[in-house]
Amino acid sequence: MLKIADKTFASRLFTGTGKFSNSLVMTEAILASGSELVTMALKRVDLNEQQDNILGPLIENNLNLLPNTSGARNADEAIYAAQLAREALGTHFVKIEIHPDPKYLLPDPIETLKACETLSKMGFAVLPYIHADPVLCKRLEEVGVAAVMPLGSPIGSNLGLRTKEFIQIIIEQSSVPVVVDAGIGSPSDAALAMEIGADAVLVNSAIAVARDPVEMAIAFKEAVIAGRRAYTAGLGARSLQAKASSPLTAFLDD
Amino acid sequence: MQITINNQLMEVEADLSLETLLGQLGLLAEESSQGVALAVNRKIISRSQWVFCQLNHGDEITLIKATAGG
Repeated sequence: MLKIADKTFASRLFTGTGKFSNSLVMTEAILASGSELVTMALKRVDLNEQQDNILGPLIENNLNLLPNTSGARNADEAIYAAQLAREALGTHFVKIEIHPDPKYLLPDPIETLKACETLSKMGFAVLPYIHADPVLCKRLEEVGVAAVMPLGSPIGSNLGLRTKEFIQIIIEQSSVPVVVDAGIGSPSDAALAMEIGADAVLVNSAIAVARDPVEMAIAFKEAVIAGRRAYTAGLGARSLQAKASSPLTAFLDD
Repeated sequence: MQITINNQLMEVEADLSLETLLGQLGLLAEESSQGVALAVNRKIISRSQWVFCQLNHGDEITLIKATAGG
């Protein structure tokens, strides 16, 4: 079982709630994925607009919520957003997302570290979305984060694990759970992340924008289970040279 | 008196509590208040305190709600 802060998870697949065509498909896909932790964002209420209600079905299905601070441009805004999120959703879990540049949505490491330090001291279980930077991960651990969430590639890009070697270093060194977040575009990307020892993966776009999100959610569920099983089974060593798996005795010769 | 909600200026009666205002805006029903949090002048007011929070002229209310996201 995966443990993050005070919560344990049987499923190592975390899912997002964004980009689904409607809340019915979202709920069905999340339930099919087996995910027990789902991310949410915050928005300002527009009083002239009909309010959507995606929260109802998530609560009814006993899913744990992970609000993010998307939209925050610096540590102060992220800290404020985290406190609003705790009030709104009644959870001390928070995903810190500080990405000032809308083109690549890459996280600001300095503001993220500042926000994580303050929020950890305030009793939040902090999960920062970060670049796959092993040095930053150690600094985040020192300030008390509950897990680290290095990116595979930019948010929503579906480019897969472009940071694989750095994520491997993070996994080797980390004493908190490592959740690969962002860019996972296919079940094979998720399986790869799990094979190299990630504790979990967070997938949103790849499921939400699939032609059939429910089927894709099942594919991701199976890939994460397979990848984790392969990791715990211990992968064989790699070699450029062939190593025979059949006997080479020359029984056909005279 | 005047207050703003999410930067939108509103004319409201004086001596209004936060709870009364939210009721007038239709935000106290169970479904519409789910996942909502608010702050007055950037100070977060927890749900149990809404009824005790008296609004003043010029108050700036931030009203947020959980929504879909990754």
